[in-house]
Amino acid sequence: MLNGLEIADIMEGVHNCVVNCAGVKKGEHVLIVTDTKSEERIIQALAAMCTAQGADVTTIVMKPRDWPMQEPPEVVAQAMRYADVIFTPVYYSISHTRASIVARLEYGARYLNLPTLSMDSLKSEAARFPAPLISKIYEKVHEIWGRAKKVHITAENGTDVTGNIVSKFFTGGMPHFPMQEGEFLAFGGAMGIYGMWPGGAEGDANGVMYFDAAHMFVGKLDVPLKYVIKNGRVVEVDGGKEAEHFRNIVENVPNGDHLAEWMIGLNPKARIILDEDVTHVEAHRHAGALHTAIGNSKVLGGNVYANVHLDNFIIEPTMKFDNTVLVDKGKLLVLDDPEVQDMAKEYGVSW
Amino acid sequence: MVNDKQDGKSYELAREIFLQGLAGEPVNKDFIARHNRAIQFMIEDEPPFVVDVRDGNISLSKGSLDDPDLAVKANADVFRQVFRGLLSPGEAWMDDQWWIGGAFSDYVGTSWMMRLIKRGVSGRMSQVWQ
Repeated sequence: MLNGLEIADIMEGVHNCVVNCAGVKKGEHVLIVTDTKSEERIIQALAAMCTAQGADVTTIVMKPRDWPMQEPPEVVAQAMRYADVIFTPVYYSISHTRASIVARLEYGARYLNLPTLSMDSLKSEAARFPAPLISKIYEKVHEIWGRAKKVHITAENGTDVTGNIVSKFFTGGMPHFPMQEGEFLAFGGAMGIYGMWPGGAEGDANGVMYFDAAHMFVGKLDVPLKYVIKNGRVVEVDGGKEAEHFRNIVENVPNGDHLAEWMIGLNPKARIILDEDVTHVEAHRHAGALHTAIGNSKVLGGNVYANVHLDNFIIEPTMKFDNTVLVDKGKLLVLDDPEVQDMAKEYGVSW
Repeated sequence: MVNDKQDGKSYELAREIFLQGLAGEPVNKDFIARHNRAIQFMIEDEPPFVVDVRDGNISLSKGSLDDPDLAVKANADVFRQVFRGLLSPGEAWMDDQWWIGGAFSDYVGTSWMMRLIKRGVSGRMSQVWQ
């Protein structure tokens, strides 16, 4: 059986990542940071595609991190400073670390985050989704979210939380295409997320959130994880067997209780896959799904650094911005916008 | 006694780094011209000043803008450490030693400004050592 030919099936997704998004060019220095838990064929495909563009590719294999956003070894951090483009296909993401932020902001590296990336995700329609169409969806979301003052998030699972929108630093999945120096793109299984830092005390997030899936745990939770949020901090954690893990972080990790992120997926082709990886990375890109982080918000325009950043997941939120509903029970309403639909037709995409 | 508010040591250091170290080195010409941005510096106990980068040229003036493209708040010690190459601007930002804001303080704008400073520091160092 010619298993090796499977790599051909991911090349269109890899091309989308390397060429359309990262804009890797001849003569650039590309650094691939990976670990021993990552899929070797993906590393090979990334390196091959970058080399084909004329880039000089260096690959570093490190020990997998023990938790998401744990800093990489100093050798890796230093190497990241000298790369034009950094790809990080790793088990636990290092995208929101000090090493990543310094490499991007101070040295101008373009950074593509590829945690727990699978062959299946890279073969998918989500990975091949046209980048300009994601830009258009982003633009429509930004017209509502980016101009609002307040957000109210609810869900049938009991979630009911509000907050002020104070950050001008919208982020996550939408740099320019191709990316510019210093930019960050989450391309885990697909691209397409939009979100914000809830603003700490100034954002004044208050309420309760129940999560359907939790970072570092595979599968949909039997008992939803519950956060009680007061003034932008998680003050109470409850739920099933996973709750103890998050309670420990909230109570014992410096700034582990900081509400760092509210972010939705934009990609209508991204699938809700919860039982294959601890990051639920493709599900985060599913149009209308919400993920919420505690911990480090520095990379999201926030003002709090923590040596952890954990994203938990709600499948079908309803999100109202001032008086406008943007997401209705998990349906991202701007997908029906005529401009979005017209562009989708141009690219031969439908959902 | 020296009055720091009138003294404006940070302003003088910024002039040295931006005008001599950065604009004075031809190798930086294209990099400077990438963006047109007004950067407001607010240094504790010193007069505020603005670095205007426009059409590849750099000018500095004392005063404040209502809505700067980029804004930096710091105390004088941190500012001087960064502008003397003793402290990384990225690390200083991560550790809340200086604050960066403004309408264009996104990844691209922040990264460009940090690299302007680093190039200026590097250029000035090489000039001094020659």
